[in-house]
Amino acid sequence: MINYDNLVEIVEEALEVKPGVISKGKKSDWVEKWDSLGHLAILTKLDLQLDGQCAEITELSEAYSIDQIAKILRQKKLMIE
Amino acid sequence: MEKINFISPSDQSINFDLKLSPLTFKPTATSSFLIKGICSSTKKTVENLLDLGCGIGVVGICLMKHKIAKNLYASDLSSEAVKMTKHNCLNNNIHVDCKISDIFNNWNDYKFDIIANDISGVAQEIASVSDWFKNIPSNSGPDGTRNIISVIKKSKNFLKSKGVLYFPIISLSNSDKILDTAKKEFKIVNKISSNPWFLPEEMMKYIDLLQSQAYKGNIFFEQKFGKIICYTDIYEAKNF
Repeated sequence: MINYDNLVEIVEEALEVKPGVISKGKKSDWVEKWDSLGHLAILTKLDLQLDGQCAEITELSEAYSIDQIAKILRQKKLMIE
Repeated sequence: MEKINFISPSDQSINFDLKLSPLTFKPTATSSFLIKGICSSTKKTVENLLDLGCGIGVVGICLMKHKIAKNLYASDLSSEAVKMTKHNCLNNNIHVDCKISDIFNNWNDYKFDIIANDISGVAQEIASVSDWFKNIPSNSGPDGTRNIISVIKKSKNFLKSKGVLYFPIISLSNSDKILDTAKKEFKIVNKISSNPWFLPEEMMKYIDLLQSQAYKGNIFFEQKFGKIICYTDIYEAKNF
C-alpha cells in the first residue's frame, strides 16, 4: 500500500527528475519526460514497489496522469485514501 | 528534407539539428539508450570513437557533443547514411572520417578506444511484419542475431587493449545467443542498462507470431499492464 506522496516520488524517480519537481515545480519541467518510455518506467517502478500487484491492471497503461493512476490504485485498494 | 532537433537523453541542455533521409533509419530509442549508456559509463575523454552503423550520425554527433572522444569515425553499409552523417557532422561543426563499410570491412589497420555499435536486429519474421524496416533491408537472420554476432566476433580486432565495445541487445532477437557470444569473445561483459518499451499497438495483431517466435527461443517479451513489453539492454564488453 502506498500514499499519494509515495506515488509522486515513484513518478519523479522513474522520469529521472529532481525530488520535489512535480509537487513544487512547473509542469513544463517534467511533462515532456512522460512519453511512452517514461510511462512504462513509472508503471515498472510502481509494480516493483507494490510487489507485482500492478502487472495485471490493464487500465494503468492508459492512465497518463498522477491523478488517474492514483484513482485506479485506490479502486484496487493499493493506495491509502 | 525533414529535419529534427535531437535532445541528448543524458543532458537536455545538449541538443542539435539533424537532417533525415527516407532511405536511412530515423534515430530510434535504441540509439538514445546507447548514448545514455555510454555517457554514464565513460569517465574521461578518449581518443578515437567509432560509430558503427551510423545511420544519420546521431550517436557519434551526440557523443562528441558530450566530449566522449577527440576523434569521430563512422560507417554504415548504406551510401545514403554515409552522405547524411557527413552532412550532419558538417552542420554541427564536427569533423568525421566517415565511410561505407560492411561492419569492419573498410576499417583495416584502425584501432578504437570506443566502438559504439548501433547495429542490432530483430527476428526476421517479426521484422517482415513490422514497419521498422521500410525502405531499409533487414538481414539479421531468423533469430535476429546475424549482424550483431558478427560485430561482436570481429570487434576485438579493432579495439585498443583498453578499448570498449558498447552494443544493444533487443529482446526481439535471441538475447541469450548474443550474450553467450560476447562472453566467449570478451573477458568482461556488463549490462549497463535495461530499457523496457511497449510494443506498438499495430503489432498486437501478430500476437500468435510473437508467441511462436518466443516458443522457439528467438525472442523474449513480457505481458504486463495489458500490453506487450520488450527490452533493449545496453552492454559493454572489454578485455581488461
